[in-house]
Amino acid sequence: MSGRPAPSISLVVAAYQMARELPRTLRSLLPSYQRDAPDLPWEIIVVDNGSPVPLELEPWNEPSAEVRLVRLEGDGHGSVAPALNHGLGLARGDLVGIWIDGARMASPGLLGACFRAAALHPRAVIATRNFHIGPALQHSESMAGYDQKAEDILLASIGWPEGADRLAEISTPEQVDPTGLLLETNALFMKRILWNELGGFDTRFRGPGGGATNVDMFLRACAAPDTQLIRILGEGTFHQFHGGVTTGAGQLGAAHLLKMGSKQYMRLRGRPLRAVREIGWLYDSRAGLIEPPALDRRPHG
Amino acid sequence: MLNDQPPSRSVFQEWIVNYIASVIDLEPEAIALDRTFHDIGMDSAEVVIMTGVLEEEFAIEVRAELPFEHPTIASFLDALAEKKLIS
Repeated sequence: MSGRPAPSISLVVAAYQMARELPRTLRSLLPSYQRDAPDLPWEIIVVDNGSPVPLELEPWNEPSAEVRLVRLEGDGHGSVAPALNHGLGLARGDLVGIWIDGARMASPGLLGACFRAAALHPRAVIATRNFHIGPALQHSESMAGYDQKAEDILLASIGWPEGADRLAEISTPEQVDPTGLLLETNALFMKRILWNELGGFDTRFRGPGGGATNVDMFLRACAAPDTQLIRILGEGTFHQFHGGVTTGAGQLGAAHLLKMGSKQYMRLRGRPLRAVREIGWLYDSRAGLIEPPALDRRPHG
Repeated sequence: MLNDQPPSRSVFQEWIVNYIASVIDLEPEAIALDRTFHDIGMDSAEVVIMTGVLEEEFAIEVRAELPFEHPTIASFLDALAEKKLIS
């Protein structure tokens, strides 16, 4: 760290057994990939959540981004929350973006859009869109037979990484309507002071994929006093196929996991899990802030 | 609500109508029993979440896909009755 300025932005990326996917994700977060990103130093903290074969980093030679790898021991199946909190504790940037799933690469305008959106409100809760690479959601029945080789061909078809602007062309959004119901976001950005005020992720949420810990974090952030939800349009994170807990579970398996998360939430919070229906503010990476819709604040459980 | 006896259909119906009404911010009277969850305004994720909540609330087990196979409140209640999860 010697000689480096303190980072302005910290990105925390949790990963478990993602030797194929993680390098692409990290590549997508570097200054040479992120256009319109702030001319400010940032750091990327990768937390290996107990991969049986420890993850390794490729050497990056981009002075304005510092990439660090820390490893937590464990089987990786208990919960991702401690790994995320560990990374959060190491973060030094004023703005912190947390990737609960290290298999999700970013679109090339994501970081700049989130940075600019964060300047719009002192307590911004910035949600980004989730996509799956492929012609359908990776857990859907129609994706039987889709594999990593097929995904590699798709990425090559747009010339990724140079063609990263076309990621959405080969991908499927988790939510068709970007202003619709929102249950969670893979890349969640908030000021570090707000992350700390909220206490980070609740480690009581356990189970495959962390149970409902990511959903809970997002709902608590949206419900915290004086926070403002800002949805980023025109950018997103793109899930690479790796047989993950949810995306590898099949349609019924994914529904079962959501049901289990709902039960867990009910037990721990004592109230039903409610997805966010409020639209919030919309920030388009090219058009900027779109006029905040009226009546955008609604209870969300 | 942990009982040895399964909940009655009327109790369960009242619960599910009130639950949906609170999720989609409507009066319970506006929830029609013969409309699909989707047409009422429930997202598929919200329907799955509902199955988890009702499992906790009534101490029963309901497959996550059951409300999709029986997509109205009335038909869902019929399915639960057939499985003797409600009386």
